[in-house]
Amino acid sequence: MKLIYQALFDYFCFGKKFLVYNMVSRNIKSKYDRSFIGLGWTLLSPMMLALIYYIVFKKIMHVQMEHYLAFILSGVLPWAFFSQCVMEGMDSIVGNAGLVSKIPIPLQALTFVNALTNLITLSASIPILVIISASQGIPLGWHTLLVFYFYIVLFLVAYGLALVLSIGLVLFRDLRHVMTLLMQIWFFGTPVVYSFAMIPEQYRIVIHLNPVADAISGLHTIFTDGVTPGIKTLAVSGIWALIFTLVGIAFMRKRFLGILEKL
Amino acid sequence: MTEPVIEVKNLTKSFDHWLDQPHSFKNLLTRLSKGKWNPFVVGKQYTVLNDVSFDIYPGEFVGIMGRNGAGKSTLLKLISGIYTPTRGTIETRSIIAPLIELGAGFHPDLSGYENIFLNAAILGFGKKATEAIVPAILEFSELGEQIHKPIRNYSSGMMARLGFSVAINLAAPVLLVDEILAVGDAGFQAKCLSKIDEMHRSGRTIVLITHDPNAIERHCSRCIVIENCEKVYDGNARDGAEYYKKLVM
Repeated sequence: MKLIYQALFDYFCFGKKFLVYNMVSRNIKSKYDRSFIGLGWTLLSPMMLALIYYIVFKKIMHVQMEHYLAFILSGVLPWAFFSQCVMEGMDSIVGNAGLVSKIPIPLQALTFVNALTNLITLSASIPILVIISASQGIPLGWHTLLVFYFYIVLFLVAYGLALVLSIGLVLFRDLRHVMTLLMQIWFFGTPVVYSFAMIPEQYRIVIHLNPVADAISGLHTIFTDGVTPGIKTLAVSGIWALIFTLVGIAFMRKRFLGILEKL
Repeated sequence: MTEPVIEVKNLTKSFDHWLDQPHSFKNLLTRLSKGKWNPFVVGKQYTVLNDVSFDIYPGEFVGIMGRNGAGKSTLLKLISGIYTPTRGTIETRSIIAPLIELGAGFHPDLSGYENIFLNAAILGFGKKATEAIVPAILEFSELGEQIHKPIRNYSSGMMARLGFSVAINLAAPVLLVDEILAVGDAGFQAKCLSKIDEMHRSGRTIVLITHDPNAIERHCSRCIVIENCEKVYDGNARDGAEYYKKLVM
């Protein structure tokens, strides 16, 4: 029991609050240049992407779906967060080589800080999604708060994955290119621009094996159907978050031992 | 007798040769295609430190000397816990602040003041410890009003002053100082060394790595010389400096 507590304590950097706070605020300040409007820049590119998908799928290909704008935004914004979290987090050891090879610092803290910075950015997407949804007459209520649950699921999956990849990148520098490719495939393998219901019945079981599929389709349900996502969606996405947390902890423990010599 | 704060026993550190090659899948595949089933095991290793032992006691001012590539910095990284020993053990019984690089994690867009907190956090200190030393840092760094400007506008000397002030004022009982004094003007260097002296007099333990035998003679109480991966001298500073001078001549 104590061991579990200790592992979680280290994994979520509870002992390093001052470090995490300072590094996150450094990231936010430098990214957004101290202005709140600056935050818009980070959300602007996924929103542009969403707009493009909206035009292509709705206006040109005439996809038969109501509230397609709300649908596409509630998929693309979280996905953009997830993919940025993974790709930036992967670089947290190699990209900070100058720092980690000189100062003893818990390596998971760097990945954690990156994931947290991105999560804060993502939370700025909530008002956008709420406004778009509400303007299309989709009922919002207590169940809308489940958005936080799914965001945390995405955060945990991205953090665990980024941690493993950050070690991988030290050993294989071309992992970056591999991941760029994989993330593109992953994007189309996830119900982001299409809905879970569009997937043929016999393949639906496979899609649950995609760690972020349920979380994103849960977000779709909240912002386009305006109802509480099914228990299955909640459970499967929660299980994935748990799995990635355990994997992350396992890698953190094994560590990192001897990884810095390879930098 | 008091316990040593740093206890190094039979320390050996080797690196794998495969680390010299580019780490990539491409490389891995090439090796696999040559019929090496486990491409990570090359067998060949090169040793950087071989069977080094020494103890450092509280209150000592130890200078470590050695030629380029003798393994000084590796030793420091081992003591501060960045590297893990191949064989042997290192025991540390106190908080150790490595001054291997000044201003670690400094961000150019943040002000000097904000960077103090960031740097202290990265060095492993908490909020209270940092707030307590802010006045001392402001005084020592001589930055005045500049402290609230983004440090991208600082000169490298100003940056070094700020970094050194943060590191030196943090209350670590043991300081590991690598050759960081190469930056900054001569006046500042002298100031840094006298500050380190002052820290030593107030009871801190200092481990200083340098090429400069004169600095060792002037400041240290003890000296360790490393040559060809091994400890070749360990004793009083004056004789150590002489020994080193003969060695490199």
